[in-house]
Amino acid sequence: MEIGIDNFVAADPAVEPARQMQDVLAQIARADSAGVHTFGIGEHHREGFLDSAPATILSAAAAITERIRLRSAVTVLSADDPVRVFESYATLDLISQGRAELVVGRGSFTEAFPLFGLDLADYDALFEEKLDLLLTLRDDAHPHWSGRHRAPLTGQGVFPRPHQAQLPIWLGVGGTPSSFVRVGVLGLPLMVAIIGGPPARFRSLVDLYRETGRRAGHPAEQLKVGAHLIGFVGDTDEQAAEAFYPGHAEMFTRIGRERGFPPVTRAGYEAQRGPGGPYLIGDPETVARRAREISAELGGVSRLTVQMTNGRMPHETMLRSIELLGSKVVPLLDGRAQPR
Amino acid sequence: MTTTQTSPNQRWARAHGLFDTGEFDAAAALLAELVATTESATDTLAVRLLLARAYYHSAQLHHAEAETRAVLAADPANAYAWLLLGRTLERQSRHAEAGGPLRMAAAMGLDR
Repeated sequence: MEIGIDNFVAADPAVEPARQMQDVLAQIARADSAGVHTFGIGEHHREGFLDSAPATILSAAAAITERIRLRSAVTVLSADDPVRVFESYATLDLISQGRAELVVGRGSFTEAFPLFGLDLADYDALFEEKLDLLLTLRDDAHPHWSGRHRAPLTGQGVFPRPHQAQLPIWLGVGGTPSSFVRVGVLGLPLMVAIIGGPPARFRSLVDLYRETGRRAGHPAEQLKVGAHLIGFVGDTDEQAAEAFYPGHAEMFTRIGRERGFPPVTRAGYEAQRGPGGPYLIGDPETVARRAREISAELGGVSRLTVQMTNGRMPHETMLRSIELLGSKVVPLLDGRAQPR
Repeated sequence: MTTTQTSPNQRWARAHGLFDTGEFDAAAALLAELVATTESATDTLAVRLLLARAYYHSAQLHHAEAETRAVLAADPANAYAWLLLGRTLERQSRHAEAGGPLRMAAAMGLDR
């Protein structure tokens, strides 16, 4: 199982944004040296986040890392031009010498729509069409393509071509059954975001994806499943839980206020990191054990990415957590280290 | 971190947490177990009231009604329990029966 980190670069009011960007790059470099397999940067177009231009951050990271795969998490494709997206990530793939990946989705916020002059009523149509163009661009440097939401392409060519023979494109989904079906039909790898509630609840949707993919004629090994989960690794379970809580509670309470969710409570947080819950928070043993359980609950996943975004955490504490994830959790999961 | 044998306090905290995150079915199952095993009468009332709310939110309305009535039998001045009973009856379309409990709650300062 591959292990990754996702970061939305939540603004920390106590840290200058330029400083924070340096910190994020240092965190990606640490993840690289510690043996974490992949790092993803989110995309948000709102106050409180510094990740509106993820490919720019990833390109800076590409220049200072060697092994780690660099991803969007996720690219809000509906609000972007697939040609630009492809160009940016093909360029990232060249800079990183073949370590770029795209995870595309519809996003869980809506502010990108008015910002880029798009109509939220076209939510589904925009995504469908733009994904079609993106996949076309991946296979063909000179496509002939036309759609409703963009000027047609008439074979003029889109460059550069990526370093990898095929740029990996994952589809990021939440809990919408039709999304799982769509990904299965396309035979793309699936990245499912489990923000709250028991991961086991997603099993039937993951099965739906696999079954749809199988019926569409895609080989089983192509139908990869990844999961994105909130998590944090500490030296002990208690230290991990204490260190992660303040920034986590602040962010989810703030977002919850907009969406009509109740505020985060400590008891709720504890339940989510408890048995059967979705949070990977604890010491390396706890995180590795829960990661294995969640993989089983979902019928086997090939990648788990840990959402470690926290706008109230000292940089050193985050670095330590990343170090533990790469140097302790990864070996426990790939069999190089034995659990106590 | 996880142990299969946890203290009633830990299970109570966990049930609270499940309730807070909207996992009402799971909270109800854990609370029902706690009610069956907790000895102190005072504690049982708090557990039973949360259990009634978990039943209510997971649409197990007959269970919710039974738990709420049990709370009220021991603690007739519990305004919240009267409100919960009224709402539980309303959700079963037993509007005539709901009137009394809702008026009790209102008289104790809890209106809707």
